[in-house]
Amino acid sequence: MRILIVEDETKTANFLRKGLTEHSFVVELATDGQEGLFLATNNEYDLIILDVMLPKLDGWSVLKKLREASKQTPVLFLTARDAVEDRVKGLQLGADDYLVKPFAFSELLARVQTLLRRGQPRPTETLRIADLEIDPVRHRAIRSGQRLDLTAKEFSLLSLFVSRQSELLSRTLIAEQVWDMNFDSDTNVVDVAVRRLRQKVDDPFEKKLIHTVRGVGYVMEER
Amino acid sequence: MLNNIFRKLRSSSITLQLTLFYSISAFVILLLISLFLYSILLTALQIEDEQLLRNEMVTIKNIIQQKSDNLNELKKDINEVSQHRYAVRILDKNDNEIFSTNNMLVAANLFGPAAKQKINIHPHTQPNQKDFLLACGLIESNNKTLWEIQIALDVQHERNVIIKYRNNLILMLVLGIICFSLIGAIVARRGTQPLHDITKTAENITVSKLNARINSSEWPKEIRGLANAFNNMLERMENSFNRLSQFSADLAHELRTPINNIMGEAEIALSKPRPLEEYRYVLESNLEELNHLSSMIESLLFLARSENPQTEIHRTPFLIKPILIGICEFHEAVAAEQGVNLACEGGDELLQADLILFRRAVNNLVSNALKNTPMGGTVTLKVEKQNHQYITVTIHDTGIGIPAEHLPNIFDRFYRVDAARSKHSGGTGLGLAIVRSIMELHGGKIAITSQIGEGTTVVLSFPVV
Repeated sequence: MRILIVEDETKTANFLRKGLTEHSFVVELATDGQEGLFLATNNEYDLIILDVMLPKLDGWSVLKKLREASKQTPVLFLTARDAVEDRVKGLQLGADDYLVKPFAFSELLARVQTLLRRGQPRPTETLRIADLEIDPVRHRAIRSGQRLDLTAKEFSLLSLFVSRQSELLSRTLIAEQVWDMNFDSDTNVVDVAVRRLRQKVDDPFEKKLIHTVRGVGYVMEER
Repeated sequence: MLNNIFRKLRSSSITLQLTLFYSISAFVILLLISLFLYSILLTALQIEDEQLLRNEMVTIKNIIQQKSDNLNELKKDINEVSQHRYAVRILDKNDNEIFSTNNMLVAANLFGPAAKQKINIHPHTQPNQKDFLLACGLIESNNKTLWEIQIALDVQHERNVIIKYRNNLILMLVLGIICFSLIGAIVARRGTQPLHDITKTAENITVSKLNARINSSEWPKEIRGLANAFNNMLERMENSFNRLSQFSADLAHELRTPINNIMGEAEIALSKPRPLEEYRYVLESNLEELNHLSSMIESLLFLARSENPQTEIHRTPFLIKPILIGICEFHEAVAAEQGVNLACEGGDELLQADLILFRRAVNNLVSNALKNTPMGGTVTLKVEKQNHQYITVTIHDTGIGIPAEHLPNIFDRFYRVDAARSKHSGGTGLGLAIVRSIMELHGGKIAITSQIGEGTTVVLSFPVV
């Protein structure tokens, strides 16, 4: 997957490129609005990460011209400006998502993956990892042949983990996807929920699937 | 053009306006009075003179009717009657002079056409500037011929009186205007003096002297209103300013600890070669602190935005109960771990509010309630409709409660009941401040009551829009 990053702040651009490259994306970098617009209109990318405050041509204009040129590439806006009007403006101009600085890289990664996943059908088939099986239609979770006794939300949480296995999930993302809570809440709640899920999903079994990545969030994978 | 003048006048000084208005009014009134008095005097004198002439004309007519045969008697009588007050001339029908008194100085042809029934009276000025009032009339003499009677009244003296009167009036007018203008200016100046005082006080107020106030008790009623409004404004500004200073101090304090931790850990880690695991540990620890700072920044920005009066919220209608249930589900793991019962009560009330903000407010309160409730306790969320004006959402816990002395300040930023408690378990210290801001943005109210050992109740009142 090819990603174009248009960001003039050197450190930010570098860590974004580094992080995304390590997650198997092909990353190109533009350091001002004009260069960004040029690359975006002349090349094919799967996603564009666009900063709002850019020299030569600001992010709003880049997006506008891009859409006027009938380029439908998904765009993720990055900015330090946070007002609701800016968010609405971005979405109205044709952005697909919006992230406010400072953000956790895992957050960005999760949103990038969500944007790239759009358009793909919802899974109706069983999700699997190691000896864990999730039946999304019947809301059943089975591990090593044993049926797991989960509440509705615990099931949602587990489904999220399994469907995004090997992806780092931030607490904010988990709160949003499972409980539709999209603000920076006291994230201890997510920790407790994951802990209880672990008690049911990991503790009785030998192989641990849910892992804590300190400072970042959680990931489900076979280790 | 006139509009321009008016506009310029309106924006010039009040003193000038008042003085000008006062002077012009005084001038106009004095002028009108003078003209009035003058014309009355003039008219009165005129009437008197005319009346005199008419009376004398009648008298002379009588004399003529009686004595027209005897010219000598006639002359004697007429002289007697006129007594040098006025001059008389009598002409026959061929305009020949029959008789005239010695003092008749006006030529006969100046007396105007004479009529039998009507007396013709008109003023006349001689070439030597003397003023007369002339009267002429016709009378039938004894031998049935028409005689013309001419009477000339010297009104010079009266003229002089009138001229003197007029000159005095003009003098009085001019002096009066000057006096009134001066008085007007002085009065206006004194009237606007309090304004100058207020201006002077205002100029002396600087950020470091925000506690200056205007002493308004000795001023006139109208200015007092202004002075009081001004003082109130200063009061509000001083309060805001103090709150802001306090806030900056608190903020710096709150930021210090996490930054200190980050710096300290990093410095120590870098002070000598360490095993990779230790570096990893330090970075993870730093990341935790930074997440916490990031949270704090986001909360502070939210608070700053919600204090901006221009911020508008996006209201949508929604059923409250499902939202509350969603929040309960969010916290169910925590509640279960703590052995606390989490429950929702309430009917099908619909609320028009900002959904995200509503969720955030209730969430913060539930979070606090759970933190303060020990095992076996209950946290209840209740929705009620209060008359037709408010819908209330009540969060009640059977927890340890909050001491009464903390309740007035509990919604202040960074305020913590237990100062010693670690900031991590207490969150950013901004949760309740955010709830209050959210209520203010909705035009609603928040109230808290608490009993030590029994629990705390927070009531959010949303106005029905």
